[in-house]
Amino acid sequence: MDRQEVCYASDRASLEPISEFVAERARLAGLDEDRVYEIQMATDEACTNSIEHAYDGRSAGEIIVCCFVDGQDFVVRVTDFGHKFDPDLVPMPDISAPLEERDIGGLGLFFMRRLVDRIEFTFDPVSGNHVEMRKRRVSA
Amino acid sequence: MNTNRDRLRHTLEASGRIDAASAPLLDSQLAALCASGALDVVLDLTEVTYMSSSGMRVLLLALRRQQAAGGSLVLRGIPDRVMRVLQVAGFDRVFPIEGELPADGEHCAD
Repeated sequence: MDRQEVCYASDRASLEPISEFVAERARLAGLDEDRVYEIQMATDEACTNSIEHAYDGRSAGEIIVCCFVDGQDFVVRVTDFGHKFDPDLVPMPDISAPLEERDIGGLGLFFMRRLVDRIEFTFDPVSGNHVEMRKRRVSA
Repeated sequence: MNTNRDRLRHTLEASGRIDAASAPLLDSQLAALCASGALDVVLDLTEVTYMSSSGMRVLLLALRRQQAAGGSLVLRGIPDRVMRVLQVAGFDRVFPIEGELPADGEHCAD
């Protein structure tokens, strides 16, 4: 499968076309529908983070979504050029906490970590924020 | 004096994708329902194809809003894939849910 890369505006309206692009590539890579849903959601959360945090909601930025196959993995790489996103600064949500104590944030990052097999965050002042997510094409 | 008045349940049906783009609309619909005096709200998710954490945040806010008003929020017709994600985040322990739950608790990367 060819490596494909698409550039989108950092706008919430880009989320649906991004999701459709990733689903199409994931199916081509042989993922079943449950896994397609999971990598779609992880990508959606990563792009939402780019829009809401790296770009502070500004829609003038760019988000580059790149999909490729690497051995047994289907890989999605999301790049933005907003300010640095440090996942370690986002507190993990306490999913066992009672309703009234639940923090409403942090869920997006929690899902990104839970829904893929491997995730890596890197930042470079020139080449931007990168999130690379790997999902095994078939269950182990 | 009617001390045993019926509490009408109001049903709101959501559909399609509930992501960061569409979640604000759902939030305003739920807020408007609460503001109109609806105490017991059923949110029907049968036609929802996808829900991200943005949508889940809206659900949590709506549940708090209804409970603060002395009412309730029940989720109904949750599609399996959406349900598995809600379960991963422990939402199934927080929300009253109508209808069948998927047999296997979760299906996510270990």
